Amino acid sequence: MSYVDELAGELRRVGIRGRLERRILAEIADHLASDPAAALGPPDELARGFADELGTSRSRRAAFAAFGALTLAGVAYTIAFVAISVANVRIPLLDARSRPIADLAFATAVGAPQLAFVAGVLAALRAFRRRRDASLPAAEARVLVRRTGTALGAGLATMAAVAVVAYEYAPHLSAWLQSTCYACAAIGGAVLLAAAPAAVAATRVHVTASGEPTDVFADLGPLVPLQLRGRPWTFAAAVAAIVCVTITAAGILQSDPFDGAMRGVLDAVAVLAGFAVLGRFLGLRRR
Amino acid sequence: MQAEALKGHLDGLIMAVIAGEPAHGYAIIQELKRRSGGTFALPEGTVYPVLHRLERAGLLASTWVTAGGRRRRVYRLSASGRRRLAERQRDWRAFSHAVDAVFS
Repeated sequence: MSYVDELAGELRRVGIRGRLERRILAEIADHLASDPAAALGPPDELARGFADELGTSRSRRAAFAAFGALTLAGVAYTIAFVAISVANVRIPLLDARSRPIADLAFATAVGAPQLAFVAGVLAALRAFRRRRDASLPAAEARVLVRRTGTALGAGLATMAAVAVVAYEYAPHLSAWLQSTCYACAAIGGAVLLAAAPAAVAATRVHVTASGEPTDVFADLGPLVPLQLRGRPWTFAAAVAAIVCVTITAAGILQSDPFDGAMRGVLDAVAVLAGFAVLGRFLGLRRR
Repeated sequence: MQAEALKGHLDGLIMAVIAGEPAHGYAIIQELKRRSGGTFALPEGTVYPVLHRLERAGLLASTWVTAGGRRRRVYRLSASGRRRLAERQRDWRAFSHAVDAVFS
């Protein structure tokens, strides 16, 4: 088997196919035609060299694309909620077309955007922090792709939930308000879907470089007080406490302290639960 | 020269070689070897992933050129590649002057 044939197999093994594969093979074939004794190195090493650099740049690009899409989708989401606020509608939560679906959609419309925001910001932060690295360790690239995928998935779930909520409570919404909600959900969803191919492309190339992934303290750097660094659970508890106090304070300002405190505690529990369930998956903690 | 030591400078060295005139991968490697008096005889395969990455970053552009019956991918420096190369050359001169000053 020739060097080029072996390289073709190795390139496919690391997920490099199609036009790029043909281009690499043509360049290497030309190189060997110029110097049949060229020291190109083992084919698997060369293929991994391409995959490490390509996978790194693709996962970074996917993170930035997702962040941009989430920003636009966030604007669409805000417009939908501002429209509901401007219309001064009191939605009777018990009077949906289908209670279980409406409850699920409502919970998703409230919870999923928070997950999308956190995952998207962390993905963009890590991509930006490591923007000069030619190749990342495989574990680090994997975290980047997971954050991006989670952000896009949660964003899409949010947009779907906004549309479902508008449908479930349609009898209580004016025609313009329904149309606004549907349009915002469609635009936000379309923008997020447009960012999805970059994330899919990042998953296709297998980065193999060794090395440990970094954690949330490396992402946030000086934003984390010294006392909390290296103590992920203490950090998560501190974030949950800040969330709880902020939401409770907002409730007090709106003359509804009991509701504020309830929502504050619920959000704090959600922060801790999210950290427990997704902490390792999203590279927030190592153990 | 140690491959690890060269790694951090490979982007700049490749851009410097191409700045003179557009070249294909094999010619870039030969020119790198020639200009360094054989010191930068790095594993030839390592240059291609770097060329592809620099192109993705917009620092290089490339096209297929047919010459003597052979199709070759020829790379040239883009405008932003020229700016980046100038930056790197400035940084390197400042660094090497400082090291020289300390060593002497």
